[in-house]
Amino acid sequence: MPVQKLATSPKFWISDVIDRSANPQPELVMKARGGIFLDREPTVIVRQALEQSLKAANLLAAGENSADLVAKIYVFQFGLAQGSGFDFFGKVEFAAVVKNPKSGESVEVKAGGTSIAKTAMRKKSIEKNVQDDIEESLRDALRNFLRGQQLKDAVRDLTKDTAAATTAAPNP
Amino acid sequence: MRIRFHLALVALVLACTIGAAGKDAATHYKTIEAKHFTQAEGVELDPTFGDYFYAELRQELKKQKLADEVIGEGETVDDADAAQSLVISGTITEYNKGSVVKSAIIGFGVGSRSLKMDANLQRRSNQQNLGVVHVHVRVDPRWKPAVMAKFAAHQLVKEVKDESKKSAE
Repeated sequence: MPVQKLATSPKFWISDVIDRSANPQPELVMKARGGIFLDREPTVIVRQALEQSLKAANLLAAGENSADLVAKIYVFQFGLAQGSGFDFFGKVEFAAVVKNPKSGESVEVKAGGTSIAKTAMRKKSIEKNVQDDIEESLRDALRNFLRGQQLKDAVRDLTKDTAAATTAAPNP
Repeated sequence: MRIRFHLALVALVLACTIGAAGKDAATHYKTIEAKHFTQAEGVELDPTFGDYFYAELRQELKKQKLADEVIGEGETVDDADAAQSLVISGTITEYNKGSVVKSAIIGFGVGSRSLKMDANLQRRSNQQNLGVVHVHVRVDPRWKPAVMAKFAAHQLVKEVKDESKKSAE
């Protein structure tokens, strides 16, 4: 997912991804028809997707010590939500606490993604539609996070001092 | 004679296609942002209804191809595209859950579950109001409110399309 143009180009580090969905079986997406499961935990999927997007935009730090901003992710919902019954309603919701390790300031950034996919009769088709639905809602949530006004404002506020120091410093 | 007829037919089809394309171009936006609809006081709808309606609305906007891109709530738009971008926000003003008994005994639409909402269309760059759309949906009281969201989203997007065509004229 392409990242928006930020005022400064800070390096991010995802320190932790925590599941806050209160779901005892986070990998179980659907109980009906013998169950449909995710191949990995939602926290692992979200971390991987975020890291890939940041890496593609050259905004991922090599380590926590070299990062300008450290993000802690709280996943509130990942998978299917209650819909009309005629379709699959995919929903991904998470919040990131973005922290400047130097100043200690932090800002919360919320993101959410939704998607609606058709139902099907055969289990193979159901699995395919559910997978497409969840992937689409994850893409939507990532886009909402990376291209959202909230992240832009958070980066501007948290890197205010760094940006001021850069402009104040004399050119060599 | 036959060749002339065929040529005339081709010309007619071309004229219709170009005309339709021109009409679409007048009402086509770069981006559309749909916001979560708020609920007026007294509206007793499940909190999940708002999320489902939001998802349905975005799905319907994508389907109707009113814009190049349907963006999520709170996403940024390039300054160059802001003048050709639309923001849809609104309020659910009235919800009546209906009566299954009345619907079964009397029928003819009596006891239907109904939903009323107002939507505002705004240009993103200068917050210019492009119109207000009123939607009223009635469904069978035995159906889930989420089904009503589906119908409401469909009708709302249809009205938005008509309204934006009117404002373009």
